[in-house]
Amino acid sequence: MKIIELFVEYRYYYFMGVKITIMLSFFSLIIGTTLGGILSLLRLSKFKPLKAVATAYIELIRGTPMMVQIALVFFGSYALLGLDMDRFIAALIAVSLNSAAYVAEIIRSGIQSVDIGQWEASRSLGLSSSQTMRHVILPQAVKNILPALGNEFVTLIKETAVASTIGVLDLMHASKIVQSSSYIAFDPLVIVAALYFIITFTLSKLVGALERRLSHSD
Amino acid sequence: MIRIENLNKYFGEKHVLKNINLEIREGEVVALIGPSGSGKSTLIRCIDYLEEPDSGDIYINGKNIVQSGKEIDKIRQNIGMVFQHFNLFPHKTVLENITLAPILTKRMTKKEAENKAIELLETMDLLDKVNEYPGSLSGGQKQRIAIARSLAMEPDIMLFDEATSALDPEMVGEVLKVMKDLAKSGMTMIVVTHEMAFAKEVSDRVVFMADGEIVEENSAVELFENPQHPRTIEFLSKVL
Repeated sequence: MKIIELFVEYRYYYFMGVKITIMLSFFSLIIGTTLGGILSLLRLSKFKPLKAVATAYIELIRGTPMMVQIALVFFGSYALLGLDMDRFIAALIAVSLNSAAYVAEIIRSGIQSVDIGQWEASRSLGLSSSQTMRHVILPQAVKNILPALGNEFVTLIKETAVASTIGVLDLMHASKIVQSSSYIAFDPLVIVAALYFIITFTLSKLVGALERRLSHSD
Repeated sequence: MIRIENLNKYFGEKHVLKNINLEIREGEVVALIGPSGSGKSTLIRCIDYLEEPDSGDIYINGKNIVQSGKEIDKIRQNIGMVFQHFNLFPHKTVLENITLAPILTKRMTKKEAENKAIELLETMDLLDKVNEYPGSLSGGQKQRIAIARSLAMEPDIMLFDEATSALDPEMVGEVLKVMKDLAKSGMTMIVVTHEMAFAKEVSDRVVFMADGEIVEENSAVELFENPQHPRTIEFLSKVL
């Protein structure tokens, strides 16, 4: 099989790409989810200016392509701040900021999907609003949004391919290197597609297992 | 123990509570009755500050809960509220439902809270459900556990907002029995109910509301046997 030989020959580039893609995805996922959680609370806040800022941010991010955002962070950091920013860091910032907007909307819908009676019961027992959020609302919200969140994480992994446009040595970049040095256009792409699929499919399965674990109370 | 003065509440344009004045003494059991939309649920929810009054004052043990800020959490710890739809926490076991608030509010240690929960479940004959999730319980069981959850905080006052209205008829009895036992134990209770027989038997005083006003209040016997106001007479003739 020619394609397997190709993979074995260029395995160094592919493994390097897989490593970078997984690192970029993993850290963006952690940072994006944390920021998204904070954004969703701002979005639900009764304090109007905070709410407006969060809403504007979310709309702006959702309304512009990731490829533009990543270029804006990378070239903007030089043009505006005079920083010679590491390509990986620039990609990490852009992907995290992007994912935060989507995660914020998912978490907001999750919080709003929990029956108001849960909030009232908890407050009537004398728990504070933050205790109620933490022990009553969020655990139920997370359970409700897990499928949507899993979906967003898979999307995030695939979208990191855009990082190759600013020269990050990720999986997509690896396939470009293999294409140009082997003079084969098609096969390297098949390999890279398979590798992306293995990563995202593993994640889907993990999220599915988590869903089953959390559904014990139904 | 509870004093309500000139309480007004609007939902948009609708004036749902019109200048309510009411006083409830310690150990008293008061039934709130009246047609739906008369404001009785809104009134009981105001006492737990789940609804914010537009004007007026509500004193619980001498403290005004209106504009009480952060202190409301402390005040609520002494008031138990039982809802029509139970509102048990579905992601927590029966035991966790009951022990959550006593532990988080630092009223009890984990061990004390668990002992208290087991004691309460025993009196309600639900000890075998201690590790179940609410999803696997019947409506009557859920409501009794919701009552246990409130009692675990050892409140001075218990509020019941149509606690039996969402139950299948055969389960109403088991919940009413728990409420009766509680009334006998000397608990101060306000009960919004459509169960007239229960109101008559258990309550010391019955308050009849219509259109956001207290139309008539009297001892249970007097109000049911000898209603004065035409609206009370009309209502009772429909439900008795």
